[in-house]
Amino acid sequence: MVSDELDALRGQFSACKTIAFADLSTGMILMTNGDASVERNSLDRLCTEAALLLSKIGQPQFGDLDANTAIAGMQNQIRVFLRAPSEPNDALCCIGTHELDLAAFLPQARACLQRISENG
Amino acid sequence: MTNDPEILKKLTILASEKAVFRDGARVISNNLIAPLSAVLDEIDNTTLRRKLTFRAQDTFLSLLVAGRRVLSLVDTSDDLENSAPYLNVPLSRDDSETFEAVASILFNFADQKSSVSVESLPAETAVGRNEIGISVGRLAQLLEVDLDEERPKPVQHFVETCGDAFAACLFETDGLWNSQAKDTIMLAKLQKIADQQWPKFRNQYENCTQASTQPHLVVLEGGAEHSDLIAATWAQGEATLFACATKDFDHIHKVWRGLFTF
Repeated sequence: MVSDELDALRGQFSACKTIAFADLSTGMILMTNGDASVERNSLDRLCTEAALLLSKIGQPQFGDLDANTAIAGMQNQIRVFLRAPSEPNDALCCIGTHELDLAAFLPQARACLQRISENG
Repeated sequence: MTNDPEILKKLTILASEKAVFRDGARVISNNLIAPLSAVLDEIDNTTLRRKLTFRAQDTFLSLLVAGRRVLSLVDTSDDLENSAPYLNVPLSRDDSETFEAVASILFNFADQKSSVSVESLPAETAVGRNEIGISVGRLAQLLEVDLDEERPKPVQHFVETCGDAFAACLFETDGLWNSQAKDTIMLAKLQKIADQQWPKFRNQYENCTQASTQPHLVVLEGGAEHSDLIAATWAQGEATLFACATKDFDHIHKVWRGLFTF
């Protein structure tokens, strides 16, 4: 179950508050972790941000290749976006605080996305 | 008589910064802004009669402030020694002992390694006849702080601090790009991004996040050949595009957090 995977990843990292599974081709968030408290508009913006940073296939907006990982920092928040290697339109969008341990989080998040993408 | 340049300066500061709050208090100092300067700035920006409580972890200090003047020391944490005799004693230039003692307590408070926050509340006590107070200018003079000193902009400071970790870097200030590079191929790529993609990307990104006045950091892995990461950070009218190795990102991110996240 996608929701179980998202909840399990969220459970491992308390500094990560929201984890969403998105389809970049349609620009839609398909699922979030169970205890996410983010408004629909914010989720839509999160998905737009993912599409801009990771880009639609073959259309990089910053750089010359389609990125597979993006990290975006603001004053009170960090957001992480990951693209599934096997299904490039599948993406994981994560919102956390700056206390999030990226070195520990990124491998776990990539593995989570890979499982979701392969089983979807 | 109004001081238009001063008002304009303060309005510009207010318009360019988004306040960060922690536990209900506004964070005013980080690695770029020294605690003492931040405290004096706060007094300098206080016109109405307020009780300002400054905190650095468990250490705190409350001042009664009005008209950009410190009227009295109201309260302190126990670790700020020798403050008891000076609590609620009206400050004036005529009482140099109290004034210098309060300045010394302020100096000790500001000698903290952690960030400083401020809580501003309406002052409850009635106005006393002898409430002349000490101007922030006089206080700054005694503490040897130059209130008019031009502070380095954070992106410039970021570039200077992280320079060795960049494979290539472009730094934009006043509409001009400056460069530094160990890797000239990556520098050429960054220049191409700056010329062909950057203005549109930045505009789209700020629209998307609805946070055009906030500092931003964007890092992409796999976004360019010949480099692990390409990235951009921008704030307060300055921007930098840079390329770096994954192994250097922890350091770069730590510096960014220290400068931009309070």
